[in-house]
Amino acid sequence: MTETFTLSFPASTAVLGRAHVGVVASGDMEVLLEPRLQGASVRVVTIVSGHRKTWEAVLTRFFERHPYAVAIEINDHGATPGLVGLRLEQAIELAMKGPA
Amino acid sequence: MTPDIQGSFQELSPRERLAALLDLGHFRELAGPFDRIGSPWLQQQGLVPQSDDGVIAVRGSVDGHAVVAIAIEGGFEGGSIGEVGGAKIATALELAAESSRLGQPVAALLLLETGGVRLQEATLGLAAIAAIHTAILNLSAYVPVIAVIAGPVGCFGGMSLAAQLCTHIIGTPYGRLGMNGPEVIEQEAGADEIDASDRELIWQLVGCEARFRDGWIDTFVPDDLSALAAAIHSAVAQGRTSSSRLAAPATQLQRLREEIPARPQASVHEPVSARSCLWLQALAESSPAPAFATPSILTARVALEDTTALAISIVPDPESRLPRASHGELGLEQAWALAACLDQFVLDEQQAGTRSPIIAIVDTPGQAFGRIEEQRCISAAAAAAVGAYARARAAGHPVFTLVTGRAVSGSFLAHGLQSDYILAIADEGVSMYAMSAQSIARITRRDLATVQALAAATLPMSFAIADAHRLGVIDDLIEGINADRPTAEDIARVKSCFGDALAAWRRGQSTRSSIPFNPQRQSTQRVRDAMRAQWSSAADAGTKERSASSVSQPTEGVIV
Repeated sequence: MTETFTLSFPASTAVLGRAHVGVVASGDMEVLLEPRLQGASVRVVTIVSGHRKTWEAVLTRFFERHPYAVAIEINDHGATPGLVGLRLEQAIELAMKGPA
Repeated sequence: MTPDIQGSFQELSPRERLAALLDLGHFRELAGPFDRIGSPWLQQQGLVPQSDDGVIAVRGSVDGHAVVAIAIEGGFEGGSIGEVGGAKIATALELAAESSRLGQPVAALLLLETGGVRLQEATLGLAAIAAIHTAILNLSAYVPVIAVIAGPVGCFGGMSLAAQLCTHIIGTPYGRLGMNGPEVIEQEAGADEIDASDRELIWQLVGCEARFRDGWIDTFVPDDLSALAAAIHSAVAQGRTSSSRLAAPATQLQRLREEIPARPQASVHEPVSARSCLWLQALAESSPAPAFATPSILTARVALEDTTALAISIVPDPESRLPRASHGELGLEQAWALAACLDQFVLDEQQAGTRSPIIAIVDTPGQAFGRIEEQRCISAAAAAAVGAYARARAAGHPVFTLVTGRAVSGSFLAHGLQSDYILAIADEGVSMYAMSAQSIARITRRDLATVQALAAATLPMSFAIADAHRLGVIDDLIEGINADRPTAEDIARVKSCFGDALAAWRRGQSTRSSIPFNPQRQSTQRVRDAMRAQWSSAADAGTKERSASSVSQPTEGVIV
């Protein structure tokens, strides 16, 4: 069964727009990213249950490096921690291009 | 940025494909990921939904001609069509038809990358695909409706019928077009019929190159963006045309009989005992007769109120020249004969100045799964039957359906789902489904017990006809009827239901021309509301950008 949880991180850097990257396909994930005024929240829906600790570690590290104030939704179909970081960076890069 | 116009089509994501093929900047998504309308059925089955349900619908233009374009994400659930994605495609086509009817033509471009009905929401997927079929046919009266089959998933199942209903089909060497996927044929008919692991055989059967050689697709181009774009531009510029692929069902039937010899007659004749046959006899005024010398397509006249309906059944024919269609399946012969007989009836009635109702009587184990069936493009034959029912409705014939037994997948799409009113007998032997539980287990890589448990717990995955009724896919369920030995009263009650349906139809209350409202299908309604609200503003955005000299960003979603 799927597992759903939401995590929060301190963040304050603004992004310019929203972004959608990735796909719910084997070993991949979909990211929806929207700007927020303060702080970051990440809602994860994953097909692989029991790995919340890993998600916390990966996301904590991501927001230490990229403290963007964003609301993120992740629909995960078994992405590796490496791909999670890559998809999030792609989303940030796209969101920094401005409003779509 | 847009990808370079040179390069492979199949390696691009669906949004990149749209960005590459549509005019730069004129491209607004409808019911996109940020509307967050995903499948409401997947998570309860342990699967993760996607925020656009794997279907991307945009308004844009090709060479300045307004188009609505659809792309399917083959990586998400095999590009399968569920409630939400199906509603998106049907609504996009319906809105384009509405606009075209009002004098502002909007053509359609369908980048089909789909395994067909999503088995996890099968009943609603089938209903949505039936609505897509109707919508393609309605729109093609005004503008080109162009299918592109160029991705690694191919185009299968009910969506292969959708492709065949389009005015143009463009394919590449990486595209495949077939009704039944090789794994399903192997599961249903055995490895002697087809070896699903024999890639060369599969490509010879369903690859677009073979399809083009045999005339089942119209244009064949290399997997190259500029070649595909040129083919699409040419099809759009050509304006409204109709394809000759499905035009002459009687000729196709004749050809089939010339090229495939009849089998030696069986010495023992098993009595035909299908409910489709039994109910045709029960309702008919006179003895049913074969249509176009096809023993498995029987028709009879049925008195209904002040008129006489034509009732049609697909029945078993143990001596069928194609053995895979001898148990009452919809095979090549049945589908072409069905189309020919409907076309003939509509023509005769037109000359007589009448528009009698048509009643499809359904108890069909499914479409025929076989090598010859795929080779001879059963998708086209089944699409011809869909088209013939739709033309009959467009000509003013009310079309009704009576489900007396199994209402299954492609055979139900071709015979029963293009209908103004669907009545089913409440009986254990009456069911509606897209695929046998065994095949679902194989395709979705689950064990049979899990599939059966999910089918029991998930409304649109259920095989029970009562659940199809709860979802609004079946209009009425009639209780207390003896489905195997109908009494005179049973027959009168069924006729009375059709009498009421006829009266409602005459009052203009036909509900099945689009997807009916149903409390279990709120996601469908959300898709329709969102797309309708965004439709006009998407057109306005396009106009503004056209007048601006600068090139604007296409949209979010293109990975740079």
